[in-house]
Amino acid sequence: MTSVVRREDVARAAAVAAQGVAGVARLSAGSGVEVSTPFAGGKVVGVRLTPTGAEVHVVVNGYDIGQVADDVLTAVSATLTAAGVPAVVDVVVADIESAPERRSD
Amino acid sequence: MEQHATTTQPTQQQQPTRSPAVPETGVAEPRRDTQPGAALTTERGTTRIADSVVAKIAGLAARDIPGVHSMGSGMSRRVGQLKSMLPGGDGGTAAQGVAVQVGEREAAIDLDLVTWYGASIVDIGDAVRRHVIGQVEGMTGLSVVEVNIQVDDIQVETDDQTATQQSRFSRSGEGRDDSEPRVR
Repeated sequence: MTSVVRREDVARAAAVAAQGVAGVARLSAGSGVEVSTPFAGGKVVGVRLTPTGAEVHVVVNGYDIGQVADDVLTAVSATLTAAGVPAVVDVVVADIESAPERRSD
Repeated sequence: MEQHATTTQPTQQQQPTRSPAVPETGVAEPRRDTQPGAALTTERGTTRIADSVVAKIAGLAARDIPGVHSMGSGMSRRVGQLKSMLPGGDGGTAAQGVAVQVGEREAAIDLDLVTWYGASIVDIGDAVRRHVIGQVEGMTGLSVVEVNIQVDDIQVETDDQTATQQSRFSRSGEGRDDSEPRVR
């Protein structure tokens, strides 16, 4: 009996991981072609699973955009690795929010 | 973050290794039966699955993916629209835009899709292919050797409004302005 991780679960897990990073306001669908992982009956917006890993588009409200992006990359990459799929992650900071919250850490 | 399981093969299954068409007779290459209980050919008889069954499953599966607007090439879509306007003529549209070849153990599937403008055709094609393979293999026990996807058109939002208005118009049997809600 082999078990298979469903794509939508991987995409959802990646989205949750990215949203859990301090300084991330939300995920973004991108400005042009919608960034999403479609599956039967729905889609995960903001995460696009690719053959090599994933692309994650985030809106940042932290002060240190580079640090937040780095944290997102680490978190999502760890999630993909745990799921056993290729884990090369591209993080795109799609926007920044005007009212940044102070980072907790 | 915890994952359900480790995987053996996601994302990799996709390169359609084109095996020499589908053996119509099914005798070409004896496939090792990997799925227990999924044998269609046994010494006590065979199970045949009709093309239309596979076509219908594939058509319904493809439509499950958001971003797929409709199916079929231009002419067949128009004919299908006319058919659905006829009273009682709503059946048979599930397999529209689907062509299949079914052997005794394998199936090949060709799909004609119309996608939404603004959605990634690559992503949709990938999702459609995965889902169609999963559904067909799961429901029929056939092994899907390839799913070829042809995108015939893309749908722009404004076009669609007139299309749905037309079809609602025909279904209701009389002219009704859809901008007015039916119930308040």
